[in-house]
Amino acid sequence: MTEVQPAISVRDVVVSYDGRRVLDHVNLDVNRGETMVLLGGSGSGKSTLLRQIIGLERPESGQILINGVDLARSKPRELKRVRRSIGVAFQNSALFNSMSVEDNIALPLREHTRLAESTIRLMTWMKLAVVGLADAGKLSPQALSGGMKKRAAVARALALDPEVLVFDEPSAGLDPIVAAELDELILGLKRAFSMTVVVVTHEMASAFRIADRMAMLYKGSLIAVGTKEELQASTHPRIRQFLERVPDNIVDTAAESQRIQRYLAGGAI
Amino acid sequence: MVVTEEIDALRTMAIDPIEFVLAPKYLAALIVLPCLTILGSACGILAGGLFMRISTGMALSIYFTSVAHSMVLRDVFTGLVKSMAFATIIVHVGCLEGFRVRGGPDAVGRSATAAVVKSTFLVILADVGFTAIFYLTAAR
Repeated sequence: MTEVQPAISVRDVVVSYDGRRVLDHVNLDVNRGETMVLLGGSGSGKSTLLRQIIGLERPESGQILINGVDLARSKPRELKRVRRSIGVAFQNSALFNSMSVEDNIALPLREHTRLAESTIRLMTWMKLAVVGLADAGKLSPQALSGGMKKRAAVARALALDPEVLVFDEPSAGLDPIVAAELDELILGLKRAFSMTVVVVTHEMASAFRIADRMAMLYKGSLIAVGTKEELQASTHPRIRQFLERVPDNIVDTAAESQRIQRYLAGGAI
Repeated sequence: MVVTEEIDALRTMAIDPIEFVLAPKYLAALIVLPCLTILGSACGILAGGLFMRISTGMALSIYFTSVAHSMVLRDVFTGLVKSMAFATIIVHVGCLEGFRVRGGPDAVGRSATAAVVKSTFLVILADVGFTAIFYLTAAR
């Protein structure tokens, strides 16, 4: 029986910035059609891993394979083809304010296809309709609310019908209701298009709602990869701390108050 | 564009940021800067005429005739070549600093200042170089 190739394969990836190791021999497979949520605290390396997966950075060592193609060693033409198969919705939406929403979505179609303008307009409208923004095409991105911007960014990510859809902190800066709507959109897209979805987040409620599997990063290393149930049942102290929202350092307010009073009285802190 | 992840977005859409961001600006500067140079030079000549008229009472027709006599086509050519070189410097330094910016709005401000300082310095250097070249070639 032939083994099914994963859509994304991260193999022994090492990344360092200024001598500081950000990703330390990370291995991760994302299967076709599954939603993988990358979890981790601030500075855990999840955004770096995401940038590696979408080909914005090259690893110091190791491989990132998208449908079997090694991004670091692929030729420019092949890299371009792979990039077209990945749609990315950025944390800050990254819409071009100099263009209308529909022009933002039409941009990749105009750059990479030879479709007639009328077809591009129709496709753009369809992508906007999928994310519930059919009437917002003529607006400037600046006129959209936070949630609408995220939706528009998803529509642009969908423009070239990608096989892999990547979300960077989709719930960041959104109220719980809009964040929940975005979760439903991600689930709806996955159901409708059978896409492989990778989501970077630290919103646990969102992660448990949308994930098929989860991977947890801590200080540049993967400490767990598994289903929601497996992660919830984990006894790993860092995972328990993350799931139960336990702070690293609990501030002793009484001791702090005494320290300040000592300082104000001219004593050492 | 770097700070707001727009450059990253272009790259993930397999659109070359150099082609998309730098090329149109460079083309525009190559067209506009020579036009501005011509406009600036014309304003300078006109201002000279008005100054002569007000300060010495010289007729504008005499002034413009003497300007036309003293100007040669080479002057226009060197001015236009220089303006195109300056356009190249300004756009490339600006885009280089823009692409290299990291961080938030503070970094954008610092980067914009660095672009202005560096391009001004390089424009002066280029001007010195071009003046020397044109002077030496004219003397032969």
